[in-house]
Amino acid sequence: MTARSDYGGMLEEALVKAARDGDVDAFEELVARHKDKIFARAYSMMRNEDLATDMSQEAWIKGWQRLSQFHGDASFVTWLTRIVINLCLDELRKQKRNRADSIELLDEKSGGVERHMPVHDPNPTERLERAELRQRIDRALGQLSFEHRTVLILHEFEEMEYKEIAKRMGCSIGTVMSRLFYARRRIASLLSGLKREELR
Amino acid sequence: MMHHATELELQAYADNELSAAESGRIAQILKDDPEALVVFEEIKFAKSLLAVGELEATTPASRQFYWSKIERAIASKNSDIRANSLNPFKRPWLRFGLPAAAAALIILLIALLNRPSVEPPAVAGYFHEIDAPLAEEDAISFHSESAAMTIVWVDSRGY
Repeated sequence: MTARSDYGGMLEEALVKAARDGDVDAFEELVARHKDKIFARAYSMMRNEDLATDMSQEAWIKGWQRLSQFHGDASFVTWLTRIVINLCLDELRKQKRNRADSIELLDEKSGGVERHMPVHDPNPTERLERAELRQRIDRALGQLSFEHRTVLILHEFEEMEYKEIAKRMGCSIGTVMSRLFYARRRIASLLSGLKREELR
Repeated sequence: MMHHATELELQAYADNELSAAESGRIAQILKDDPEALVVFEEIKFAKSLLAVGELEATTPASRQFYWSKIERAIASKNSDIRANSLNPFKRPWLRFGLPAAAAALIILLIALLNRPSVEPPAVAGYFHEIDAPLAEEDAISFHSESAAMTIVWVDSRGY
C-alpha cells in the first residue's frame, strides 16, 4: 500500500489504475486534483453553489463506481466532466418539469434582441482585463435560460459538436443550432456595451 | 429579412460544421449579401467573447469536508457489494437461475402427469367388450395388449 503522502507525486494514470484496483486514497488524490474543475462545470450549469457541490460530489461517486468503464480514450478529467454534465442535465430537466418555462424560453425566437446588431470588432477584449471580462460574461450567461446557457457551455467551453450536444440534451441538431444562435444573439446583446466602455 | 435557415447556415459556417461545398456556397452569400455579413459578424463577436474563457470557480467546501461525503458514499457502496457477494441469493445468476429452475421443474411435472397412456383407450375398450361366442367351440385365441390385437384360430374341421 502506498503511503498517503506519496500520492501527491504520482502520475494521473497510476492514480487511476490504483483507484480502479480499489485504492480509495488514490481516488481521493484524483478528487483533490480536479474537484475545482468539476465543481466549476456544475456551477456554470446550475448557477447555484449548493446544487453544484452536490452534483459534483455525485459525479465523483458515480466515477468511482464506473472506473472500470474508463479506458483512457479521453483524459480522466474530461471523462468525469462528461459525467457531471449528464447529471446536471438530468437535474435541470427535473427542475424544468417542476416549473413553468422561463420567459426567455417562451421568447426563444426573438431572444429579446433586436434583429440587426451593429458590426462589432471581432476582438473587443484586448484592452479589458481578462478576469473582469470573464466576470461579465459569467453574469451574462447567468441571464440566459438553462437551455441556451447549456448549449453555449457545451459548444464553446466543452468544444462539443452539434451532433454530440443534441445527443446529450435529447433534442434534434436543428434545435441545438437554433438555441445556439439565439443564445449567441442574447450574449452579444447583453455585452454589446463592452466596446463603448472600452473606448471611454 | 433574412430567413432563419440561412442564419443557422451562417452559424454552422462560423463553427466549421459545413462540408467544403456548403462552405463555398456560404462564402459566396457573405460576399453578395451585406445583411448576411452583419449576422455573421454578430456570431463571430459572441464567439470571440466566449473564447476569453470561463470564470474560475472553486469548491466552497474544504478538501476534507468535500471528500467526506464522497468517502461515506463509497464506503457504503463497497459494503453493499460485499454483503451482496456473501449472500448467495443476491448473486445475479442465482437470483434468476432459481426461479427458472423451479419453473422448469413444474413444467416437467405437468408433462409427466399428462403423459398419454401406452394403450390406446378406444382400441382397448373395443377388445374388452368382445364376448367370446366361440369359447365352447374348438378355437384358440391370442390377445396382445401391447400390440392391441386379438387373433382367433377356429378349427372348422369339426363342421
